[in-house]
Amino acid sequence: MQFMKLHHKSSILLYLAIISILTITILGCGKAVKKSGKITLDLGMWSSSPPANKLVQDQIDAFEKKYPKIKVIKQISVGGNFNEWLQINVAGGTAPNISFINSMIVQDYIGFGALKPLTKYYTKEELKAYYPNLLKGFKANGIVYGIPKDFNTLVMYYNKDMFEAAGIPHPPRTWKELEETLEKLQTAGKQGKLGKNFKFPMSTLMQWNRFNPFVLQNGGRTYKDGKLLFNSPEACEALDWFMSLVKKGYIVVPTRMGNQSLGAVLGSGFTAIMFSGGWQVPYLRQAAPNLNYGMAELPMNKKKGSMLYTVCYSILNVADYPEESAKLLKFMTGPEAEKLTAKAGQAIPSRIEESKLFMKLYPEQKALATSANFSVVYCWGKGSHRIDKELNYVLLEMYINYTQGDKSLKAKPLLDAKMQSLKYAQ
Amino acid sequence: MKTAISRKKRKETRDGWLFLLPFIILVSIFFIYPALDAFYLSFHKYSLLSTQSEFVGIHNYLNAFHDSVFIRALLNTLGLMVIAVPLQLIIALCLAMIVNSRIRGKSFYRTAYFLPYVTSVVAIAIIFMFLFKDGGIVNSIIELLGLHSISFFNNTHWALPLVGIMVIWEFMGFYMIIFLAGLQNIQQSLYEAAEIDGANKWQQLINVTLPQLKPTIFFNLIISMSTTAALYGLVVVISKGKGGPLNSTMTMLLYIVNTAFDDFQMGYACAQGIILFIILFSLTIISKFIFKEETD
Repeated sequence: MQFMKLHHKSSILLYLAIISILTITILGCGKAVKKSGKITLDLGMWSSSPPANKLVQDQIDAFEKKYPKIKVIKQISVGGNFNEWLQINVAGGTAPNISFINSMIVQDYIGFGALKPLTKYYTKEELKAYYPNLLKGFKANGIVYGIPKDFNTLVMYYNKDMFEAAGIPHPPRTWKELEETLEKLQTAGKQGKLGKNFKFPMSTLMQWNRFNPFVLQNGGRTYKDGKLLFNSPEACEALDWFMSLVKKGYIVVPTRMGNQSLGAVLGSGFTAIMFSGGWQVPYLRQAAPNLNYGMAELPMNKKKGSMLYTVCYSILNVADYPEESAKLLKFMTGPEAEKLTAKAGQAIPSRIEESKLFMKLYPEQKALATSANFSVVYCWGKGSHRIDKELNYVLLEMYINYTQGDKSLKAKPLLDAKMQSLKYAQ
Repeated sequence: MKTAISRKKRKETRDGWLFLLPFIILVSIFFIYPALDAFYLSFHKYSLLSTQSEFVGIHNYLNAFHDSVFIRALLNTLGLMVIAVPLQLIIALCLAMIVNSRIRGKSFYRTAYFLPYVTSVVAIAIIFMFLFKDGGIVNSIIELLGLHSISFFNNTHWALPLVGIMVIWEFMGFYMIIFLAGLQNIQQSLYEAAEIDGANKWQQLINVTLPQLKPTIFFNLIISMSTTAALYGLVVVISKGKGGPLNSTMTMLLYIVNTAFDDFQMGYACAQGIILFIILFSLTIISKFIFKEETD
């Protein structure tokens, strides 16, 4: 009997121990911000590659040296979707103090009041140090909510050896030249002059952001000042022209050549031209070290146009220590940090002065930086993701129609219908 | 004496509840509360970033049935359930009977068939993408046969069936193991009796095996339906989270996640989740009704 009692007591004790461990675990999930008089700031980011992580760490180290009372911890998003991760942390009260914000989602974050206006922390003169086209992407009603940390643009990568073999003297500068170039490449390819791997003259992704340069070059816009304009005559004309190139078999998606990525099809000699950003450079260096390629500005029509892929640092409204966060933000997008960006060479510094250093260090990638002067930021306003998806469908639907179907779809009715359905959804 | 017994009983009841408490707490925090919250949010316009939610009544539910992408996701998911679930269970049952028979190397086959289930979905998706890509092994075979190669992942007609094949292949091992357990539970004497009565193998299957397996089939059916309805990882990998080409691989769960996080419409996403729940719940009730006698 005595034993039974003891047994009973110990099981109750065990039970209580389990409960207390659980409670402590759950309560312990909150974060400690202040340690030994030092302020700790969290910096939210995603991890694209080990060198990219190292660059941020180097910049943080430089910041901590300058402000010894502030400690910065990198909060790297778990899982593939940064936007998802950040939203959960904002809702859960564990948001980082400052964070990467992609240009695509920034207007939504501003709309929900998640970001702090930066007017207080920057003078007009200070803002002039950045490419104006870049800053535009992070403004709403004239107020800046994020400072771009770096950027990339779409440029034309071309295989120099293939151009030479096909008798093309220089990369195409206009739409007309582009069409002629593609034709020459196709003919030379059929004659076997471009190597046994060659399949198609040009490859691109069927994504609206990759197509949008043509809209810009034709004098149109997909989105401007809160308005969607993707069914304008300029845009429709550009799309019909682009599909005429698809119809002639000049342009295909990389999967058509058995590969997911553009870099891979250019690197393997399957194609001669791709429109892509600076992120292909490290890939090509590693995967196709012998590829003799060049990078040029995209061809123009009525004007020049390309895309800006950029990420800013913003201060989250829900987080503590706005003043210290502003110091960190200013440093991470300041000259000292961006010099490190320029040297790292993974993306172009958002500050005009530091981007010149990049061009000096990497002259072969100059087109990436100069394209910033006539490019627009990748963002279609509030609900960008939805709009982007819908526009991609139009492009893909036309592409499928022009490669597998009856090649009869026209841009205007499709884009008009899309505009109607998007208006309904909003 | 009487009071001593009742005191002991009371103590036992109390201890019973105490031991149940951790489970109740965890389930309440991680399942019941979120479910109720999702139900509440489904009547609101709400984003995780917003500080307030606005009551919109049944607008989110009405919106779902006007949303062509949602309808597409619903049809895709139901289509997968109608095709993949029965196929999966039939294949799993056949495999279970094979590995339950007196063949050599039984354990090897059991392991081999179960392997896909413990393999990461990402790995499975990548293997299939490698096999079915343009210029891949499957297309080479098709070309050898003198047919036109198919761009499986860019083709709106082929992408979803391919997802179905992956789902079948991934989960059949799991259902096989459950069926195997069910088969081994059937008393050998029943077969002996059937044999004495002159039943052939086929008659034994129809009249002994299947009726005896009913509870197992019911269990597998429910699990298989809910796993197929909750299909997410595979399509995320093969369509890069977009459900493409042209929404042909958009599943309910993928669309719910996209609506909540990409479109910042958590309230609407919750309404979609509730609709999915209602569908699954009704299907479960219907199945339970069909398998009534055995599961009571």
